[in-house]
Amino acid sequence: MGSRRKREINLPAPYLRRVWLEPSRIADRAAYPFCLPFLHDNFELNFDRSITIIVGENGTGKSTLLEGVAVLAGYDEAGGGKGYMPVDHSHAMEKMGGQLSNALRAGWLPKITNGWFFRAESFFSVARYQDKTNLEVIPGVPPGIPPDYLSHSHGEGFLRFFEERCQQQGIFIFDEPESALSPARQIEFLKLMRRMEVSQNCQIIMATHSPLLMAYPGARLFGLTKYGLEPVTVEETDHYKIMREFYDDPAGFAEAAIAE
Amino acid sequence: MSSRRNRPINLPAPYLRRIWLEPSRIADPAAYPFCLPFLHDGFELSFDRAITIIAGENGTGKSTLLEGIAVLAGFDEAGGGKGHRPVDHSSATEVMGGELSGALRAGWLPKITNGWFFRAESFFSVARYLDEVGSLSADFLSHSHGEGFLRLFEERCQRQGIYIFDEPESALSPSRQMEFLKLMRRMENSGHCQIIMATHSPMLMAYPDARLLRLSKYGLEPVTIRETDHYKVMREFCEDPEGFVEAAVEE
Repeated sequence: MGSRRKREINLPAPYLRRVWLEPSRIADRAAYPFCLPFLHDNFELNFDRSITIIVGENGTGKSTLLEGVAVLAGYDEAGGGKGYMPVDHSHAMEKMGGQLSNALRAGWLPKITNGWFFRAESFFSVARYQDKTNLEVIPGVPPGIPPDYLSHSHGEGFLRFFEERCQQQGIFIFDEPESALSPARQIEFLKLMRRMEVSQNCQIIMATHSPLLMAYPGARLFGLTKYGLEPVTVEETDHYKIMREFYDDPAGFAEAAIAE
Repeated sequence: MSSRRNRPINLPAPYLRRIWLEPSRIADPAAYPFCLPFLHDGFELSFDRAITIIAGENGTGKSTLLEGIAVLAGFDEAGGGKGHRPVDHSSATEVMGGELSGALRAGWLPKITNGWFFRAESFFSVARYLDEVGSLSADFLSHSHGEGFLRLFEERCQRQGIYIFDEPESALSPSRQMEFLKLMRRMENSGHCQIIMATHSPMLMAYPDARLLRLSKYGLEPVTIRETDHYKVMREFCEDPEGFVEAAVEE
């Protein structure tokens, strides 16, 4: 990391203002990811706040969209920051975002390439990579034990990882950060998001299934369905409706869900 | 997998009936994991139902406990089934469960070594390993990892065995968790699957007829879902999402 790259730009987030599809760059309309229903010819997504949250059922293409944005920002689509490609990526399967990014165009103000792309399922290999390359000393951790993001409790490791990575100016992409975080840890994560927002030099783009994270105040919340992206409120999401029903009668809800 | 190993035993789950700590086998009680408060000299855990669910905050030792049980069952502590060690385990740092298992004793009826140990964070490498060895189930990682998780569960969880799930809710939306509940019911109804699961998800904790235990620094104790912190927090959230979160981040 050169010092030039760390010089801050005096403009507030969001830096990525808009992405849109350029249909002429699509080789095969019928192939994934371009067969995803939301990726119609006029697809575009505007980022008007520093925090954008995308919700939607598994399979609608949330992760692919985030990967595409991550590649536009210069990150490895399997997770990590710029320059983290050595993370055993030799035969990664998630090349969908890269293909999508080729057909996307982006409007930046200004172009930012610092930041981090965080995937739930690549945390394991990112953390292992860091263990191998950066055997730092952590206060309070007995000598001889590696900086163990993985040991003891992976919820702890996740938050330490976020805290260390998310203090600089940049664009931060989170794909389901709630994985492995208990409700109490998710509240800690909300506080981290607030610190990032208040700094004014962090843009967050996040996909989540967690109503708790969707409820972040002041964020732009989009629902992704086969019809496209549209602004929603937490209360309008299926995730919240299901959750609400569950909390009114957990045992009855679970019994009914199983019996269906 | 030889055919001998697949011959079912005609006894219903649970097969692992009890584990307990043998303090004389602990080399250094001050070292992790034996410094975990719940691992006091009298620690024991009885499994009286086919499904045991363990709830508790991060850091209490849930994952370490599951790893210890997984090693007792003959699984690799980094996840996978018996014989799945090749999953790039050369430099794994999760050796804690192995150390714990050295000081645990187990009562089985009978001893079962089939099954699967599923860790949320090792899914990535387990799935890649499955792809590499030419499983029919290639492609777990493509498209949507929620889909991949369920496919992995469905394929692995049909035989007699002991199944250990560490936070299976990771990457599963609420509606996928409902499907996971159905899978658990199919496993329970088969009569030959024992499930031991750690979770933060109230929806999974609510599985009917499971034994729900809370792990805290004081030990393991039976609870109802409504008594768990997870339930209380989320219930409060549901009443007023924006107000709840605004108050939480202001603190």
